[in-house]
Amino acid sequence: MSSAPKQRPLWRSSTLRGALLAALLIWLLLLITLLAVIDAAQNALFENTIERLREEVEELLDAAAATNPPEDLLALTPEPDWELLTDEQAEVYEESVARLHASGDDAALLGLYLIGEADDDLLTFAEGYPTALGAAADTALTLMRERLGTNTLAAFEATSDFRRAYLRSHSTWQAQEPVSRLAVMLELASASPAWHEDYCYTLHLPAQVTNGAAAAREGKAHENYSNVYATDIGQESWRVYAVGPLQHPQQQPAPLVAASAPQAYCAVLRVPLTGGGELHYGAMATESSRAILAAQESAGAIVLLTAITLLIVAILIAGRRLRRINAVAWDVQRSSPRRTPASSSRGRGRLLINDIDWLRALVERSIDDMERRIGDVRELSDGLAHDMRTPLTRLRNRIEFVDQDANVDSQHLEQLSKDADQLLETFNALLRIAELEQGTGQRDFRSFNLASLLLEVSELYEPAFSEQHIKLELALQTRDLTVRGDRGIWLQAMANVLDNALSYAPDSATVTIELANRDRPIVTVTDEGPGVPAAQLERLTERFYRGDGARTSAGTGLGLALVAAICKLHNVELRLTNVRAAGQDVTEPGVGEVNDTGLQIAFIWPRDGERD
Amino acid sequence: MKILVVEDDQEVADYVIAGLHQAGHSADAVVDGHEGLLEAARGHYDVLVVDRMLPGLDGLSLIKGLRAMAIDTPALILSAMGSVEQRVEGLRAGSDDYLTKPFAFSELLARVEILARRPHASAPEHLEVADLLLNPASRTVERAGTAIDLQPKEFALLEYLMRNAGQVVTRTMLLEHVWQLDFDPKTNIVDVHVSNLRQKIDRDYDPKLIHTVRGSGYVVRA
Repeated sequence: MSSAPKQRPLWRSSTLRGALLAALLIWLLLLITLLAVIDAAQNALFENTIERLREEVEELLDAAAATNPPEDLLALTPEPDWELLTDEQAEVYEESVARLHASGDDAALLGLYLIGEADDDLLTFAEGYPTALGAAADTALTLMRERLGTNTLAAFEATSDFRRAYLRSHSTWQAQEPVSRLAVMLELASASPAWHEDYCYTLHLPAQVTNGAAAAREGKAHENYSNVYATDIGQESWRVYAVGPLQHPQQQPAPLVAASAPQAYCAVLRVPLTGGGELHYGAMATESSRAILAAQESAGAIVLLTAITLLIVAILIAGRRLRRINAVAWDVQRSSPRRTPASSSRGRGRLLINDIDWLRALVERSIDDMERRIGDVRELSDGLAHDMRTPLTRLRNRIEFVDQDANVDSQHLEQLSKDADQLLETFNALLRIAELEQGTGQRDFRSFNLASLLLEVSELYEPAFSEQHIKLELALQTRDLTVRGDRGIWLQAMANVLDNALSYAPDSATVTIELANRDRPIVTVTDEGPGVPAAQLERLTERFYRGDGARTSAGTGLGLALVAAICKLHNVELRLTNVRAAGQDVTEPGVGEVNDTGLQIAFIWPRDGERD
Repeated sequence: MKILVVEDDQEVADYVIAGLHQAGHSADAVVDGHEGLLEAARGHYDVLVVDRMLPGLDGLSLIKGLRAMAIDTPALILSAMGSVEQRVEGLRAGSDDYLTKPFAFSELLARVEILARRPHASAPEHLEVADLLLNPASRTVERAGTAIDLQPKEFALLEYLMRNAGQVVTRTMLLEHVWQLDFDPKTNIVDVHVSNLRQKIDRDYDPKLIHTVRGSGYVVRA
C-alpha cells in the first residue's frame, strides 16, 4: 500500500484558509481605522471652518456697527402716498410718525426712511449700507408692530412701496454675497417670530451643489433642510428659496447633496445679535474638505475591493458546489418524463434538497424581473397619463371657449367637452392609482371609526340609491371598531364601490353594507346584481380590465383598481366573491354561469396586533 | 373686480385672463414668482390666482411671504398636484382655496368670485333670500312663514348656498364644503341631494330660488 495520501486542493487547506481569514480581519481593522481618521479630519475641518466663520462674522458685525445711517433722519422722513390712505389711516399715520420720532430710535427712523424712499433712491442706498439695511428695516417694522399696533402698520402698508423696498433691499443685499458662501442670513431681529419664520429669502450656491433637483423643483423640502424649497438652477449658481432660517437637523456639517454628486459640506454658525435675533453665517466646503471627500471615496474603493476579494474567495470555496448545483438546475430545466429517478446520483439528490433555497432564489429573481418589467410598462403608462394631461386640458379649455361663439353647433361641442372630460378623468384616476401604488406623498394616517365612515358614505349615497329604487342597507354589527389609515381616501374607496353597485344592482334590489368584527374588522358591500364569472373575479381590480360580462361596460374601468390600490396601501385584504342573495359564497372552481347572485366586495383589515 | 394671475404656462394664463375679461373682470398676468410677489404686494388686487410651481419663487412661498407681510388678499392656488396633503399644505401656507389642474374655467370663475366676496366675518344672525329664511344658530328654516324640516346635510347644503347667495356654486365646491370630499364621485350625488332640497324649498312656492347654472353648478337667488 504505497499510494500517496490524496492531494487536497490548495484552497481547501485549513492553514491557508486560516491565513486568509486573518488577513481579511486585519484588512477590515485597517479599514475601520481609516474611516475613523477620515471622520476625525472632517470634524476638525468643521471646527476650523466654524472658527474662520466666527472671525469673519466679527469683522462683519464691526463693519455693520461702523455703518452710519444718514445724518438727518428727521429731515429725510418721507411723506406717504396720501392718495392711498383713508382719512382715518392718514390720521393714524401722522400720529405714528410723531411717536416714532419721539422714540428717537435710529434704526426705526432708518426704517421709516426706507419706507418712503422706496423706489429710486433705495437701491443706491442699499449698496452703501448692505448689511445694516435689512436689520434696520426689520427693526423698524418690529418697532412699528410693537409700539404702534396693527392699525398703524396697515397705514404704513397702504403706501405699499415699503414692501417692495423691503424685498428689493433683501435681494440686493444677497446678490452681493460671494457665490462661495452658502448663506448669510440676518434673522429678523424681531419679537415677532411669525415674521421671520415665514419670510422667504434666497441663497446662492455654487453650481456643483447639485441636488435632487427634480424634487426641489416640485417644491418638496430639501432632504437635509426641512425648509428649503424650490430651486432655480443656472450654469453658475443655484438659487434656493428657504422659508425662515435654514433648519438643519444637527449642528454638524450636513452633506448638502446626494451621494452621487461631487459632495459639498457646509457649516453654519449662529451668532446672537445684540438687538435680539441671530445671524446665520455659513460656508461651503473648501479645498481641504474636498481632499477629505476624496479620501472618503478611496475608502469606498477599498471597501469595494474587500467585497470583491471576499466574493472571489467565496466563489472559490463554493465553486464545486455551484458547479453541481448548476448541473442539477440544468437537469431540472431539461427534465423530461423519460428521465428516471435512478439516473440521479445520490450526491445530486442531496444537493437538490440542500440547495432548494438556491433554486427558489433563482425563481424569485425571475419573478422579480418580471414584476420589474411590468412595473416599467406601468411607469410608461403613468408617464403618458401625466404628459397627456396638459394638452388635454388645453383641448378642453379651447372647447369651453368656442362654446361662447354663436355659430357653432353647441350640442356637438358639449359632446366634445364631455369626451375630453372623460379622458381627463381616466388620466387623473390613473395618476391617482400610480401615486397610491408608489406610496408617494406621506399620507396622513390616523385612527378612525369604521362605523362612522360607513354612516357618512351611506348617508351621502342614500338619495341616489332611492332615486333608482334600490335599497341601501347599513348593517353595523359593531360601532366601536377603529382602524388606522387615511380616512379621506377610504371615503373614496367606499364611494367607488357604491358607484359600482349603483350601476349594476337591478331595480328594487338591495345593496347591503355590513360591518362586522370576526376577530378582525370586516366590511362587506353586497349587491344583487349579476355576478361575475369566477374566472373574471380576480381581474376586476386590474386597470382597464374589460371582460365580456355585464359589469365591464361603463366608467373609466379604473374604479375598482383604485380601490385595490387603496387596500394595498393600508395592508387590507380585498376579496371579491359571488354570493347568492342569501349571502352564501358560490365562487367555486367550475361555477361558470352565474345567475341570481350578487357581487360581494369584502375589505378585511389585519388583526389587531398586525395593524399599523 | 381686479385679479392677478401668476402662472408660467402662457397658454393657461391666456385662457384664464381671457375668461376673466369675458366675465367682466379686470385681470393682469405675471409669469415669475418674484414678479408675482411684488405685484401682489402692491396690494391693489381683489383676488390672486397663483400657480404652485413657478420659476423664481414657488406659489406657496409667495403666499407665505405675502401673509408674513400682513397682506391678506384672498388667494387661490392652482396645482397639478392634487392629493389631500398638498391641498392641506396649500391652505396652511395661507391660501384660501385650492384648485387642481386641469380645471374647467367655470369652476375657477365661481371660486374666484366667491373669494372676492370674503370676508363675511360678521356672520349674520340669519340668512335671507326672498321669503326663505335660515337661522344657523337655531338650525331652522322657514319659507313664507312656514317652518321646513331639513336633514342635517340638506341644512348644510342650503346654508352654503345661501351664504353665497347670488354666486354660482359648483358641484365640486359643494362636495368640498358640505361633505368634505376631495374627489368627484361618479354618481351625481350632488344633483340628487339638491333635487331633494328643491322638493322641500321650491316645489310648493314661487318664485323658485334654487337655480341650475348649465355647465357650472347652482345658484340661490330670488
